[in-house]
Amino acid sequence: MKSVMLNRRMGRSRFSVFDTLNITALLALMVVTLYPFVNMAAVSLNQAVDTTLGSNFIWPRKFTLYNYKVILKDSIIYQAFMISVLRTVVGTFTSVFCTAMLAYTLSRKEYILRSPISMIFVFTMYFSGGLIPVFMLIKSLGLTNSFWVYIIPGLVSAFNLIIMRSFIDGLPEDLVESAKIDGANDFTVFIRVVLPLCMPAIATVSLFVAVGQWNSWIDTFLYNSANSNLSTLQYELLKKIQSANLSIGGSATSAFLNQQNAQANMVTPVSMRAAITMLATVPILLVYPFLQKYFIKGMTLGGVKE
Amino acid sequence: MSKFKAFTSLLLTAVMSVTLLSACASNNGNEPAKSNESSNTSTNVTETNAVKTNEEPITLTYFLNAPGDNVPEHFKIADLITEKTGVTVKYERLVGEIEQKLGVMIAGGEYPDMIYPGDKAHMLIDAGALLPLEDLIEEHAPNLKKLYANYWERMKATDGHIYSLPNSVPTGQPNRAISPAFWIQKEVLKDAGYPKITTFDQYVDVLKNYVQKYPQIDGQDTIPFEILTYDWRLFTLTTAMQFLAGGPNDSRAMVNPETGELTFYQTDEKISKRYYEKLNEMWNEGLIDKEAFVMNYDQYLAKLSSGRVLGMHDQTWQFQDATAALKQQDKLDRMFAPLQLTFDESIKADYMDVPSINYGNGWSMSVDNKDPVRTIKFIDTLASDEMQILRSWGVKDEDYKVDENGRFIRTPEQRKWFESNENALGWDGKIMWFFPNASGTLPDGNNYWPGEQPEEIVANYTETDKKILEAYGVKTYPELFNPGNTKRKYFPIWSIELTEDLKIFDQKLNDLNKKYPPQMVVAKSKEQFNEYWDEYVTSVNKLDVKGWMDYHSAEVKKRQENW
Amino acid sequence: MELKIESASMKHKPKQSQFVADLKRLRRQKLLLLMSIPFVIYVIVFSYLPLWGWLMAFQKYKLGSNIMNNEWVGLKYFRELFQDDMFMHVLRNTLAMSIINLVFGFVSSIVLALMLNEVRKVFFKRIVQTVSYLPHFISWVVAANLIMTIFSLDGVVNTILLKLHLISEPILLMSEPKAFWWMIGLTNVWKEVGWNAIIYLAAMAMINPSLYEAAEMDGAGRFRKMWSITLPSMLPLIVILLIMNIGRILDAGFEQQYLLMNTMVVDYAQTIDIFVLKYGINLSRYSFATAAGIFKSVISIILLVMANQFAKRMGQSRLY
Repeated sequence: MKSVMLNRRMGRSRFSVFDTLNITALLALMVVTLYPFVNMAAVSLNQAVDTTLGSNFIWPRKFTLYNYKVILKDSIIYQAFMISVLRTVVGTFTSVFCTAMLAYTLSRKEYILRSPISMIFVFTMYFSGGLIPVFMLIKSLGLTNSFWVYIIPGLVSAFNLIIMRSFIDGLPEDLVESAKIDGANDFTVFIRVVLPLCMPAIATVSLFVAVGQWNSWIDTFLYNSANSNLSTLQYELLKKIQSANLSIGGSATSAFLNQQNAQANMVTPVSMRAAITMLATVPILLVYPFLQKYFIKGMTLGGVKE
Repeated sequence: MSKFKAFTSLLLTAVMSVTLLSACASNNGNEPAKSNESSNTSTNVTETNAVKTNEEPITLTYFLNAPGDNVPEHFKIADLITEKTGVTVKYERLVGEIEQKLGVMIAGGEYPDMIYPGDKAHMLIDAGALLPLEDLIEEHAPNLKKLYANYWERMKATDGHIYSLPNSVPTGQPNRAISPAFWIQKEVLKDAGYPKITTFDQYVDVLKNYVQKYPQIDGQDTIPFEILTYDWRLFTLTTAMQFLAGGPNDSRAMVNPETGELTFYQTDEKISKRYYEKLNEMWNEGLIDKEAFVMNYDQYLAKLSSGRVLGMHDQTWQFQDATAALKQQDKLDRMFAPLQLTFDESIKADYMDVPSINYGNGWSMSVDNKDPVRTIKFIDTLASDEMQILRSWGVKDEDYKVDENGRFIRTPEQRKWFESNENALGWDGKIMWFFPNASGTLPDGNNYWPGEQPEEIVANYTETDKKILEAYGVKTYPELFNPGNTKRKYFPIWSIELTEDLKIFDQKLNDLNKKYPPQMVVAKSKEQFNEYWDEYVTSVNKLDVKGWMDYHSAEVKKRQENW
Repeated sequence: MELKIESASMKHKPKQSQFVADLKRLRRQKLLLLMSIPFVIYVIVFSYLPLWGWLMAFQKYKLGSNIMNNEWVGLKYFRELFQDDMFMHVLRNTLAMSIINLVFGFVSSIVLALMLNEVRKVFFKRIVQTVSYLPHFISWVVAANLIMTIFSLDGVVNTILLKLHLISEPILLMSEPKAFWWMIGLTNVWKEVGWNAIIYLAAMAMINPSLYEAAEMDGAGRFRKMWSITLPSMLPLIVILLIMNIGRILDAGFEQQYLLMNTMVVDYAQTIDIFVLKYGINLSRYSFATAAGIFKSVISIILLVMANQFAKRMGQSRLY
């Protein structure tokens, strides 16, 4: 009882013990979560050979842009970047729209198929036919060597669907009811009423889909590897990492010399991974603030009048 | 990741010498039917295409089970080749997992014109994806016929067909490269006055003396002996003893070169237990890195690169990054020199590989190839000495010089130029090795590969290297080692293709090797050590060791008799 | 904010007599059908159709062959899986790490979301939130390297512990078999807490502010509001995520363990997925891998159905 009283009083003061503790804890969290990224940036800007001595630093010891140059000199990277952006944008819009629409139908209490459809989707999270059957399906649908293989197979994921449905379920029921009384059909209600109210949910699912799209490389590997026009950034970056394992020394002709003969500017897997992490992550991080405002402000969006 | 798989891909690309796969594809019921089918296809195609001329331009696709840099569309050597043959090759190198890649390739049933399957040829052969090559070669490819003449029978798969043309065919004077060895810091040798070190005990004493004299190097604790144990790289711990006992770079078992008899050494008291016991003593004396069994590969490299590690057992291709780092820091004397050690003086060291090829592992043609005759003729042209020199040395005077004695040689500027990855990529795409080639010497005594030309090797030695080699009375490091024993025709054991059950055995043994030997090394007392040893032996014996031995004995016997 | 909407709507469902009525209702729900049926077809094609691949588990599957032409071996691969010495071992490790991850994961991300929610300065909140989810974008390969460095003999952790005189000699935490599960749990929290908190932040953003205003009128403090408004509003989401994750209990993953393990802790680090990778796919044993996959799916779905039933009985939100 006493502590509740205490809390209550402190809650009103401008800066309580709780706030201090809270902010200290969050600052500590920031340090441990920021460190890897700063370290990564430093490693990516450090000479690869020097990094071999140990990578426990937050400022490059021997500054170089060589790690980035090695990656960026390959012109396919730019093309792949465009494809990645395109698949992320198209994939996110289509997927979020479809997911939200389906989620809306599943949140309608009167919809008879609501439960069976939910079940059909939920189960898909827990099984897979396996690599080969899926490949053969994609191939027989003519999706190999096509951009659409990035969009269609992942159109609606069960996880996102359920999350979205759960958010929509949380909306006050009478909003939909009153719109319906005004003569709106389900599709209009979905577009006009539900979508705007669900922006935090839309933002969340968009983030999930976008990050998934941006980071995906396995579909490029399995379905589009023969067509370099459809290559994606992550796939090209993966190639760079794999070849970094082998690219000390020059051509096969000098492979035997490696033992004795190494160059200052060579790349190693460690520094390659660092540079690649930076290149792959920064673009998607730039998108984040635009989505973030929807769920960080809090308590303003829910305030649409009832 | 299976040890062999990763082992192979790295070895391949780094040392460009050895890799796996025997000609024994796994047998199953449909084998005969399938091979008939394939040979029919081949003869059909041969007939229909024989009419075509060679002159029209053609583009062939080539998938390689070997990761690496994107091969540029144009590079110097490729353009010269296209000019001569009219053939352009479009390359796709592996990204991701080969099992998945081949899995979907086979399931989809569409193949590129040419495939370098690495150690996965059996998957493609089983699926009937590869074209038998022997008739094509007999008819259209005199250079290939000559190159592979000595190995013709050995290259045949169990169904009697040749599907792959392995790389690095020993020719003339075979190359001698050091890969597995006990390594010692050059500074330690220098400090000890270049002693003759032949046994493991002597080696440990030299390390011990040095660490007593210099407990710290550059402000950090000296690490007398380091062991790489991360993931599949643990084999540096569990195979080291075979060399000490006088065996070559086989695995699991040692073969008596005279009788062809096999000894399973993993649980042998005189071999493995002896080594682990010694390591356990060293551990308790503080001679082994405390983090040896915890660190990952990058940490291992970091330690070697710091210059405070005095010695380790390892293979050259695993620590090149560290060598490079030491060189860049100008810590030339902290780099490592190889030693061939044995348990005692009476044992003859046998570290060097016997010149051999990786049967069943190399350039292959798929059943979807658009023009097999044209393709084999193209490959045949590439295998001529003239084209091989172009592929490895380049254009005379532009990429190398010929001195008054007819020796191929590179100028320091040229050497420097080739060190750059970028230059190399724009020059030969770092891909030319993946066509049939010889390793060793040309009729005129020059080596097929610049990296093996003695002049080129010596040009890269440091002053310390020269002093060490002078002290031991040789010119190059390989001369310090006994040459490979040519009686070992079977070599190496690990290239014997395993049945499914044996693959499981192999993985099980890997798992046991990961668990017990490290515990033995860090055991606090003799009793504890023996406990772990006994447990290890019992667990290994629960596996079908006999089945493994029988199978391998039979295969080795077959090879020794027929090759 | 209605919390128990679902359970309310599911009450009274006489099964047979309703059938005709249901059909009638369906006719009135044409638009809803139009908005959902295409996706049902989609999910059947892309997720259910490839299930023919499960047949592989019952035969000696040969790559590239027609699925019906292989030799049938019945339950051979399932027996191999269950009878393997290592099976119980990897099952134990998988369950242990999954449960630790489940508990740590849920608690940490909910607590972080609540903490962020209490920060008044929007700017600070945004910064913390952005920074805290950064590790999610670092691959496990990179993260593992970092973790190994931090916990090494001369790493940051040992340096700090030594300075604080908590230990007299540097310790190798990564080589302690007993600590491994907890290290997995902790590093997982570090990497994913910020990312996992996002969904709860979104849920909080959707809470109607008038609820808080009303509570404040009643004189409720911040903890009271947290306890009686924020948490209950998030409960349906939490329950749903919990049910979904219970179904994932056999997915402890493999990348993290594979990269963080070493020879000293192998006995505690191997998960089912690592086991299947090593003895299935890496050896091109598709049948074995498929059998293991089926085993996991069956267990998952049983657990999922049970959890869902339980939630239903407790009057909580549920999956279907």
